[in-house]
Amino acid sequence: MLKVDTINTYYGSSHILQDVSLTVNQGEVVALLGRNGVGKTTTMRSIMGLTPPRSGEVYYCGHKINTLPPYRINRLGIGYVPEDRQVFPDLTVEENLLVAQRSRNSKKGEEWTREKVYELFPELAKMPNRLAGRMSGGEQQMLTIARTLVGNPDLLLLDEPSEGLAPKVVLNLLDVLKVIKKSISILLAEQNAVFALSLADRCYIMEKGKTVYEAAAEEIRENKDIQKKYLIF
Amino acid sequence: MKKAIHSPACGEVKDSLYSWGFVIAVTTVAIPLIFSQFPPYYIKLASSIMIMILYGVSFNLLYGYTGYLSFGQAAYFGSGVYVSALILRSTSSLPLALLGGSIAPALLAIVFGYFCVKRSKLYFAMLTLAFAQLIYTLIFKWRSLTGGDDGIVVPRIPYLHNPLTFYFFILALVLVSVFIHWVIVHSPFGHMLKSICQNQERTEFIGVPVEKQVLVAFIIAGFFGGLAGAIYAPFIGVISPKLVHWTMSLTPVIMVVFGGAKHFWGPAIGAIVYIVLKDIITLYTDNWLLVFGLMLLIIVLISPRGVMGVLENIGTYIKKNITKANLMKERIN
Amino acid sequence: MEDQFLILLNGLSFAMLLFLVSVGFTLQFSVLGVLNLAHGSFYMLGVFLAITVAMFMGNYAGNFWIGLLLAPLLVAAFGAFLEWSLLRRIYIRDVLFQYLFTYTWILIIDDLVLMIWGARYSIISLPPIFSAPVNFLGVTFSSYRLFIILLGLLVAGLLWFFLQKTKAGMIVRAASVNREMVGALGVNTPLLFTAVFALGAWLAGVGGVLVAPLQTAYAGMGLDIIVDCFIVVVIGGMGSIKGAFWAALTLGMLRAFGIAYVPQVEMALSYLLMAVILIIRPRGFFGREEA
Ligand SMILES: Nc1ncnc2c1ncn2[C@@H]1O[C@H](COP(=O)(O)OP(=O)(O)OP(=O)(O)O)[C@@H](O)[C@H]1O
Ligand SMILES: [Mg+2]
Repeated sequence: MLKVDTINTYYGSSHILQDVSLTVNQGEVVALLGRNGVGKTTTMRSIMGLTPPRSGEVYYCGHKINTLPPYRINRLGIGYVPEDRQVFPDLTVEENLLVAQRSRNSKKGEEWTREKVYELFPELAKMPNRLAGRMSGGEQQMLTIARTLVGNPDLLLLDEPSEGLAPKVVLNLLDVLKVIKKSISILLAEQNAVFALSLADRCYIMEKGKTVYEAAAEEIRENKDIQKKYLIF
Repeated sequence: MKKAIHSPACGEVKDSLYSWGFVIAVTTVAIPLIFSQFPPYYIKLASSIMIMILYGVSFNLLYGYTGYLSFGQAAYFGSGVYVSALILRSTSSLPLALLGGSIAPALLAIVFGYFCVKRSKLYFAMLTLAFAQLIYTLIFKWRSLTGGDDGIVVPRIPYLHNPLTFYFFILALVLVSVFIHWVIVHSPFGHMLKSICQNQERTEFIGVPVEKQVLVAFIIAGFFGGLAGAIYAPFIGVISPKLVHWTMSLTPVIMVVFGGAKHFWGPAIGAIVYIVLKDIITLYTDNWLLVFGLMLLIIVLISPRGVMGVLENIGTYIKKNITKANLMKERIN
Repeated sequence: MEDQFLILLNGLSFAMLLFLVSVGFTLQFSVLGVLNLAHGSFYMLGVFLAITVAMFMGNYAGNFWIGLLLAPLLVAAFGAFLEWSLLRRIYIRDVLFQYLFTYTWILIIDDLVLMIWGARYSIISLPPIFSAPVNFLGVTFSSYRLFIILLGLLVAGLLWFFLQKTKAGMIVRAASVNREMVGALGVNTPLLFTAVFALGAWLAGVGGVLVAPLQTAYAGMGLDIIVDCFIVVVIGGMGSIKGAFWAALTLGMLRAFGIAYVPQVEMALSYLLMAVILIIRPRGFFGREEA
């Protein structure tokens, strides 16, 4: 459903992504692994149209999306959960969800409504009127995911959801994502490979702006060399 | 939130490459004067170009080198004009007028600058404009001192009665002042300003007191902007609040956009273009603001580096094609 | 005591005018991130359009009301056009170019106004219902100024309602902290920007029309009001609507009492207040820490 075809992305004059290609199939969870600063976030941003690639193409369900503005890409069905959370701090939980709420025809009947999202995140349901800026890191992470869910995406770009969370919260998050993945394909960027591999079907490993390795998740789980070479466990 | 905004405003400042521009400029201005059969009108035009060059170069210390855009330089130019005129009226001493007319604006720049640099560039742009408006209103309303709308007639300076003599006096004054700018720009302080322009956060991070450095640049710009005004007063003879008006703050902005902020001599070239253009435009229409507004708009829209940027692009394009053509020839041979 | 109350009411009417114009300025900045230096010129456009409508309608009693309805809409449409055709091309540019860009609009709009309407200074007459002063809580006060106060409060109330209670308002608030994220969540940001810019221009236009019967129009009035807007946002906090309200209120009072008691230095008072704020609370009443 998503096909990233040899994209090159720059920040100003620094060349960050070099010929990155990857695919995500319907129903799949694909992990994008790699150390600090290898370009995982930039890949996500390139797909989302936030830092459009200078060359190469991105296709989503047959649409060429690399020249579209972010809002159009979102409306086609790609939801983005940025790293470092980026909730709207001056808005309440409820308002954060309202801003993002968007129903899509293809999903009639099984839409993520606010009620359903509150069911999935009972912590949020307890504080709909809390200002997002006043919440803990874990709660904010839940809110960012919830906020993207109510936009009813078919593909979720999840950028380092486990970053900076307490181990218990990470476990909680894992449960939530296992529910979500039943209905939504996911591209997951992570440094925390254990977390990612427990969720993913397939993996790409990135190194200095390039995808250097692609394999099924099990393969990487077993291959100690690869783990040592590219990942931090 | 990460921001991926690339700042083209603060590229490397070039100056050696463009010294020729100034040489040409000076000679085109100076040569007709040497054959002084030209009517005094042109000599006066050349003189005002010279004064505007100083005004523009001092402004560019802030804009081109430091990356701070002031919309209120008229406060310093204009207070230079008025202080100089008032001193001339009471003492008729030109040196005293020039001294007072540059020190007073510098003092003003200390006070205003303290507030203008206190926060971001955003505040800088707003506050410089606001303070300039304060000075304008003050001069406009303080009739007993400034004559208000009627202005002041500045006494003539006997030994500078001849326009040509006056021109050479201005030329000398401007050249010395511009040379001082050149020295400043190439001093460690100047390099500091450039590094503030290119990356303020990083410069702050390595322990440079950015606010203070920008303030010093602001004071220097105020001093020399004031000096330009101080000599302008006896040159023009009759002064009015127009010289403190916001359109006077616009003048160096236009010059720098025309000439390019990234060259030491950019504002000098811009001054020539601006004065000559304005002279021509006002022959045909009163709406010179509109004309310059449209020109600026288009330049800012298509070429962030000003007219010089366009010329430079054309230059490199031609050069590339020439070398390409030469290579082809070589291959054919 | 009665005098003070009258001064207070005068100050309130200054404040509301100032609020109407500066809230548009601060709203545009908070969402688009661009400082519209030509905001004062939009205000001036409102004044002159009101004059034109008044002249066009001749002695028709309703001309002020039609002007109040029409002129701000025209200004808003003009603003929307400028945003759509020009401004959106420079959002990704360096801030210095953004300042330069809106600065050029001042030259163009101001000179166009001069070209179209001439340097002829004019003022429009008050609509008949405001011809007599009213007795308000024991003082005799200009009914028109009272109308300005009420209208200002009404607009402030509506703005509050819009921003706090409607989805569009929430989007505006969200965009003012994180434009990029709002776009990634599917909000049509180009449209949002055009709409907010038009709203800001409309507010400037309303301010302009309201001031038209109070003051003769002059070519530099745009610059005078934009400087006031600067002072408002510095005092109230850049991008803060609440800040604009309280700062405008403070400045209005300062101006009214200044004119009454120390007319010679009245003009400098607002600058002084701004300087004091910059020293003791650089981010203003309600400003964010950064920016
Ligand atoms: N706004 C920016 N301007 C310039 N360079 C940037 C910018 N953002 C990121 N980079 C650079 O791009 C490279 C890739 O960054 P990116 O954020 O995509 O990495 P990442 O894999 O997501 O890292 P992390 O695990 O830390 O999130 C890094 O070297 C970083 O320094
Ligand atoms: Mg990252």
